[in-house]
Amino acid sequence: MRDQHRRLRFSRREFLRGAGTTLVALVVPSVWARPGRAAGTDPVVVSIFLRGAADGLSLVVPHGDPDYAALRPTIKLSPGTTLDIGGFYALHPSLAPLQPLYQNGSLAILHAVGSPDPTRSHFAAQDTIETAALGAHGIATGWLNRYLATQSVTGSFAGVSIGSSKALALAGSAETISLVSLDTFQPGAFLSAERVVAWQAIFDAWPDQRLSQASDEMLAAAAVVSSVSRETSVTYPDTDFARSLRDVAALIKSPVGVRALTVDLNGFDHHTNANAQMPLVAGTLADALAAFQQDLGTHASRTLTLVMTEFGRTAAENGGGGADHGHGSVMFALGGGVHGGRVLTKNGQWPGLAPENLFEGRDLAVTTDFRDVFAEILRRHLGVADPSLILPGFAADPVREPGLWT
Amino acid sequence: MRRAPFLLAAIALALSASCIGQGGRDPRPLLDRIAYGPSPEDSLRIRELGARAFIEEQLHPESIDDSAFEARLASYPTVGMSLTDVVSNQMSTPDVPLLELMDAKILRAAYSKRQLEAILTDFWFNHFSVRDAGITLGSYERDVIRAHVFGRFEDMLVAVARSPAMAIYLNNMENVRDGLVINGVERGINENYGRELLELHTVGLGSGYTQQDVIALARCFTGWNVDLAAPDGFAYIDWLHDKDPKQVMGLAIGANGAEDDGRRALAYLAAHPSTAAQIARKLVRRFVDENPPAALVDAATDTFLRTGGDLREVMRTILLSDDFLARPPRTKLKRPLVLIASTIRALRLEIRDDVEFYRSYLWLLGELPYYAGDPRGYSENSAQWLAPGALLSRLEFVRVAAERATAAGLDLGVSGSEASSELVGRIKTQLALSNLSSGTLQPILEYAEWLGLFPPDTRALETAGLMLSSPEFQYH
Repeated sequence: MRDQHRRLRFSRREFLRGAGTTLVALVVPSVWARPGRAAGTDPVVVSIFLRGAADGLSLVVPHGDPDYAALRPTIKLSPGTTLDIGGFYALHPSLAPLQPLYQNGSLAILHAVGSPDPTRSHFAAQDTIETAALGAHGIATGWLNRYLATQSVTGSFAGVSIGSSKALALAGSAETISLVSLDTFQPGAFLSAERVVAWQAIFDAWPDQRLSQASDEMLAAAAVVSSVSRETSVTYPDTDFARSLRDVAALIKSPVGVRALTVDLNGFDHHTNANAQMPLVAGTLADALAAFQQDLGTHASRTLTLVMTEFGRTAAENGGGGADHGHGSVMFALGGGVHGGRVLTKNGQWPGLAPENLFEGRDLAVTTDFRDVFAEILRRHLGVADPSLILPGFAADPVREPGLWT
Repeated sequence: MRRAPFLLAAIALALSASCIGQGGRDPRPLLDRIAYGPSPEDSLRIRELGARAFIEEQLHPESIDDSAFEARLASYPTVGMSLTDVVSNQMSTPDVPLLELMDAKILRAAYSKRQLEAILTDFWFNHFSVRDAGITLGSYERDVIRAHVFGRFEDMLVAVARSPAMAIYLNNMENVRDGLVINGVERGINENYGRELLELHTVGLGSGYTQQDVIALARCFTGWNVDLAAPDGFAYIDWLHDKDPKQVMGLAIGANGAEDDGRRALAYLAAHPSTAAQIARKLVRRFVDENPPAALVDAATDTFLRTGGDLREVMRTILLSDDFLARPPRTKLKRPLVLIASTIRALRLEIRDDVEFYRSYLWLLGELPYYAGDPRGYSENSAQWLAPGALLSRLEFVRVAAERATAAGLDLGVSGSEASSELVGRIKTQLALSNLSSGTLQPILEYAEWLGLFPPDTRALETAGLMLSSPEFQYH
């Protein structure tokens, strides 16, 4: 009996080899991860989404606007408490770790930026930005995935979402994966070759091919993750967001071929009590970003980090010491050789907070379309000759780009 | 050497065919949808009653004796407490009620005989998702959600609007009339609840409402506030209320109203055809197919509108439809709680002092109860649960669960040394996995063959673990 079993096992392996499958290879890290390869030199995009509609007027305060203070009697920030960046604007005090990056020119700020779509639904607006497709509910692919699809990249680690599910920005035909963290993804001996062979055969026979696709991703991820060094000399803050960025840096520094990554930071929906809430989340953001940028070291010049949110909040505060859903907000562009140390607005003009300048009479206007920001990143940082091919229904025009690299 | 896989393929075909025509209806498809998977007792009950009568019984949970499950809840004293009692007993460790609630949710899914009620409570809690509502959460789930899952939609909507949990979570307790000055500070409306009431709770995005409707609706709920000393935690405070006339979509509300402004808005939204359609579609997605059959959605919408939103009747329309009863295709990957509870039921696991094990896997799989990240609640979309890390945790979970069950004495009906086909056939029967396809069975047979190298109990356990990894168990 025993001999018979051994023969069977052997025959199955032989059968698999005969079919040209790489299943067994998949669980051998040295084959998959090619550790001999040098760390990449390709450009990388890190997309950080501030979920909940971050208040751009508190993150980057327009002190020079004569209407600002009166609109926000209890949640305004006074000039004495904020960090001045050039007179008109000032950073929220909790963004202090970003000030040196602004001063040394590696951080650029975009203001009055957002989606021209007027929706104030978190979910519709997040989808619009991640798909970069206005009013096109049929489009279920993300802009970063469509970018990856145009590149000759191999392996699912080209696109990585840090989180329990894949960000829409990375969904699509190009292989990408999501991971909660490098630490929680350590399958070890559980992925024995025999189990893997059985799963693959079972999942391949199942009509819903998403299952076998997920299984392939799982095996690839297991192999790659085990090859990623998580050592760093930088001390990160003790937050989940910082741990996510530490993993992002580890992946960028490892030769696993990452090109686009996404991380979320929740907690920006400040309908009430913004004075207590904003310092916490702004601090979480800035502390982690500063550590991350330091950790990237020589990879900082090829890594552009773009921080965005779905929309801003009303110019006037509401009755609860917060602000409701608004329109224009801010973006931060860090590293990747941007010409930083500047707050970029359309034609250098601040749209203003006077009643007649507000969008629908209540919100900071959007004068820079987020797609013009994406277009510039695609063209200047990622080397895509015609960003229109990646931004559906959008005629990209370098003239409208905000000028992150000029 | 080359003949062996061939032979196993033939055995796999024979094994997968053997469930057809095995005397009486297979209870699995039904229990996979209106229960957290088959348990031996529920399978027996379906064989006694037949599918339709079993569904009727589940539609009337008050008719089902659930005392055995309720006895288990005795170890979780805060779960049964009224809001008033939880408030007055507020202990030094406020996490206790939340942890007890999480554990009770796992126990209920695994052991309650009122399975449909448990599933619908999860469904509606998720529809009216709240988080960070502290000690009000237990009352919210029991008195606001579970109490209404077979009642009228409008009654549940009203109970949610009055609940401190929702008022805290979506900030309606901060929502007061514009221009009101309190302690020298000018206050005003807060749109958060009004917006999600339209977008998520009732008519849905794309039903034609505007920003002006959001504002008008928020104004209707000014003064709807929280008083934890009241039995249901609600207080209407008239001097916070906006007395001006309001227009919410097609509903005109005159000046000088009071609490009734909010009630009228809820009645209008509850009866709106867009609400009926949105609720019907969501229920059909949950119980029938991720791509809901349009005819069934229409039928459920009609029932909703015809009966004034009677949720028991809407469920009856769905559950007694051919689309539901005729063994729908398995398109839905089980959500984490469904996976965990159905594994407990399949393996007859007894939770004693180890509920933390299951809770930790809910966390690993991304669905820690009462912690949904945004007001949409946890996703019903399979794709959201197929991340590589989550898949790995699923496969690990069923393997570890099988190990726990056999260590606790589960009888898989095998000695472990029988021929693979016999071993696989018996374990399949023990786990009530009547539905394994030949595409699944053949790799399991081959694995069981290879496992002949190992001790018999390892062989049985590993085979069971692999069987529970199969899509026939992971999907429903």
